[in-house]
Amino acid sequence: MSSVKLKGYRRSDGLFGIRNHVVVMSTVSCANSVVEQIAKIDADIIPITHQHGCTHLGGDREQVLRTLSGTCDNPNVGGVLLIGLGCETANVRRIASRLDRTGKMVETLVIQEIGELRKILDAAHESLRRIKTFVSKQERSDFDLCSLTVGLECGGSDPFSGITANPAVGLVSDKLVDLGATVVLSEIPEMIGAEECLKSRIPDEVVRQKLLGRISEYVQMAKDAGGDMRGANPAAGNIKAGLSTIEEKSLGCIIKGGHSDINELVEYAARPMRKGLVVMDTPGNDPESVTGMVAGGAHLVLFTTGVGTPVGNPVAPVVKISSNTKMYQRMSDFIDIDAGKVVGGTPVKDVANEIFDFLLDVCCGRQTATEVNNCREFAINRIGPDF
Amino acid sequence: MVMEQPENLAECAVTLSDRDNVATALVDLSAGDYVLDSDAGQAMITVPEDIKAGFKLALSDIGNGDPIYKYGYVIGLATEDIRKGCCVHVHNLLSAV
Repeated sequence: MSSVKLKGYRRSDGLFGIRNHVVVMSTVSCANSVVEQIAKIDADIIPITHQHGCTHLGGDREQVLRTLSGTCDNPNVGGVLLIGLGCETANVRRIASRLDRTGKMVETLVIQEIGELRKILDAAHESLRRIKTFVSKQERSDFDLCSLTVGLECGGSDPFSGITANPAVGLVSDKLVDLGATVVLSEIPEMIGAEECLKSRIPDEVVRQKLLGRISEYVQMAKDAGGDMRGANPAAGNIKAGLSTIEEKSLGCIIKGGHSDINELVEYAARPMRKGLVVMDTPGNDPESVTGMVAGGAHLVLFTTGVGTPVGNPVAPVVKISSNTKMYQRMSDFIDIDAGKVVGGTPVKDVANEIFDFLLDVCCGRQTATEVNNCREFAINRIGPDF
Repeated sequence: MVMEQPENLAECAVTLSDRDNVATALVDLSAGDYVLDSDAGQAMITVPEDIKAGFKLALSDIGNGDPIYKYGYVIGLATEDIRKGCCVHVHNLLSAV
């Protein structure tokens, strides 16, 4: 296939951003209000707050740090102001040091060091002036679509998700993989019952065993928590709407990954090392899953939905695709593309072409519904409790 | 008396792989005869019962215990003999997990 050229902001790690955001992030929840006040006086910045950053143990400590730094590291971010408290685990220096190699302008402010709120807001204003000047000087240049990373998500599925929106996104995934891009399939719990399909598409034995093991772990985790995913899924509502078995439900979900081989299983919020179709270890929770893929470098996310949802992301455009026209008409300003038209006779491949063309437009600056509506959900997946 | 032309099943139900032995109704299907496209050309398929949008119907006779294919993969096993055109759902299909 011939290459597709796009325009983006070149970062010093060789990647290109399709946006040039200035992010102001709290490194711990104690700094959230300060970030919110900075956002009130500066509408140009993207504020990111969350409930984490301290009192984590083991794997959570690294996962939270990786998600926070990965989000700032996303190629769509041009400059960063980190707001810390001073005594937290995920302190500003730990995160800033992970961003050194990116060549982005990263400044830090520590509340306990500066003291009063007025002084902090003044310092933030000064920092942001420098960061915005730096970011405004970054020029857009040509890049090949092969360096693009696209995340896949479905949320609020219905029986049509698996026959309209997801198969259309599956064709887009196949095309992106053919063109050399990286496509990230997520949500391990929604792979339960589709093991046979996944197994046959993972050439690397180690990756295959790792993914199958992880799917089993999710089944066990549900049991340990007092539930049984296989028994409760599909839910009564799914069955009433025509879905029969968990195999049918999961296959309808993963079909958005198309038919390519799966080359890698990456940890939550980690950057894929291999090209083509990869799987990220994320939960079914939509904001957590999207946050993980974007922290892992996804430039944008293709998100299918049956019942409709506003979920977006602070730094990556999320393209919302409806599985049925009724919902599209009711929630039209939250949805970019209606795949429900397949029911009216439009071939799936025509919808796939529409999604692909829209994706190219978004790469070149066209705003998605999530961007227009400032839908900027940010949620970090956690492993254990806080202490 | 005007005879209505039978509708083509491909316009009101979808199959997602050549291997599939069920199609999913895109709209509510009324019981009756439909045109079914196949490799051998066009054939007729009799749908003996109304099938609601989102539900599946058998594209061929399926024996008790045989695998049901959708998306090209097994979504479960038939728990009884299923005649071509009949609805395939939890009453005659069980998860193989």
